[in-house]
Amino acid sequence: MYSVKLGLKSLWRERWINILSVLTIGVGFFVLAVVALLLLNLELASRRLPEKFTITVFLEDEISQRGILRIRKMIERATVVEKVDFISKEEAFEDLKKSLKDSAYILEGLDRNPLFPTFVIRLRKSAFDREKVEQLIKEIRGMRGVEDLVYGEEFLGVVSRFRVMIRLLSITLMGLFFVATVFVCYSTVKILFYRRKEEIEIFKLLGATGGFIRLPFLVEGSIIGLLGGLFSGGLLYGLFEISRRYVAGGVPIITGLNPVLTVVAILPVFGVVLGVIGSAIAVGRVKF
Amino acid sequence: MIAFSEVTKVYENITALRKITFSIGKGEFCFITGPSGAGKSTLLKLIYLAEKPDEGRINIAGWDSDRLKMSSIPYLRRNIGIVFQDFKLLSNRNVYDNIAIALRIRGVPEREIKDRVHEALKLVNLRHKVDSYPDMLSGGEQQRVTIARAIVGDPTVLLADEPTGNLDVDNTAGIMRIFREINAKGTTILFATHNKELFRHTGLRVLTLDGGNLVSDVGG
Repeated sequence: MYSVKLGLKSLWRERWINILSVLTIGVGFFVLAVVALLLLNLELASRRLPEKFTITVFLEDEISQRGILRIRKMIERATVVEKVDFISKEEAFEDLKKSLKDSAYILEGLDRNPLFPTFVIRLRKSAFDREKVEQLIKEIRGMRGVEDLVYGEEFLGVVSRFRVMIRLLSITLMGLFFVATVFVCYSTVKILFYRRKEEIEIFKLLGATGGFIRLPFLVEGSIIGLLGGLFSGGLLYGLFEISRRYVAGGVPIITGLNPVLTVVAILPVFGVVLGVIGSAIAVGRVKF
Repeated sequence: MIAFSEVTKVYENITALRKITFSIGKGEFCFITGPSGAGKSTLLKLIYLAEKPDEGRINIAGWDSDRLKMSSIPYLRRNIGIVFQDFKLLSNRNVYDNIAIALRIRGVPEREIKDRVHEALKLVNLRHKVDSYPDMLSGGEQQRVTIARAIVGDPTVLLADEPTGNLDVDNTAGIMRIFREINAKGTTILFATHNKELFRHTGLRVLTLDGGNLVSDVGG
């Protein structure tokens, strides 16, 4: 208990250096949180893109009802598929007529319906996986009764590459900020440790254990991390509120940010963990 | 209580202590003397484990230097009170806190700490200075605070490294009186000094070091 008190006292005694560290960590966390939220929202947005992505399967002209049912069952079994719609030759012709409106007369000269019966496949947004989609396309192509298949191959590739890039960027940024925060806590506690070197030497001679010497620094490091986290959480929440209230219509990228409040709550916990890690490295093993 | 057996300590080719063998019994008051650089401070450092012997073995209150783990050192030091020539007081804490810290380290409850600190201050006659800071005290008073801090944890051994080195005759006499009182209560004392006047005519045991060798062991 006395060790905790020592940590709190030192926190106040060395308040200027501690405030500086809190601000550094806070601003770092804030930038990290904003970037992470933007990336997360881009990721979520990219997940919705497949909703607009459909596969059109053209069936052979003379396909039987059994053949249609067989293909439908096989498509529906695939995990990536959200919905399968069958459009018969006749329905397709009607749709075409409707879409041509006043120009529908051009179809009048046709002696037979030139369209194919088709399946329109919508993909599940939550389980969007390029490999699985491509596997499904390959399987459909290989099926008896399938004439042709059309899908946005390029679009699929772009979405997939975009998501991989976002993930890589997120991991890199998280890693960098993790190291930076640990380093700020490490250097602050190291300075405090050197400043109190004489006092620590006296403590050792009086019989203090490693734990007694280390604990105040861990308390101090964790509080610096906690305050840094709270500060960044406050900044983030402030930015969120301001953009929601005062910016006309809100800045969509911010007001639309998904779990702002969760992130605001997580930042202080994150701060404590990194603060403890940084100070533990700074104090190291106490030698007698 | 303390036993040295063929102990040698070398600092970068300079032999600070050479094959030292002696033992001190419980409750003994023993002086260690010799000129500067004789090895007095090194001998005390070996006892409170700030240094390790290069050869030989040391046994302190049943703890063997050979088999002692690093994590056990703090617990051994709690059996040893140390008084330094340069006091080693915490300048940003008052007299009360400077003494209390020795008990806080041991995890003693605050209520008990209060009683024991006042008892220690009574022994060194400094109860009226309880709220003063070290730089407000004279050298003699600071040394008395150091003694109070060293004995407040009821150590079995009290080590003193030139505790009167910076003090005048009157203060020295006062400090010596305190040490005799502490010893009378059963605490073993090892008192390093180059001042022969302190032990002349006392009849107490005196170990004399010179150039790292134990040259005489008389009295007691």
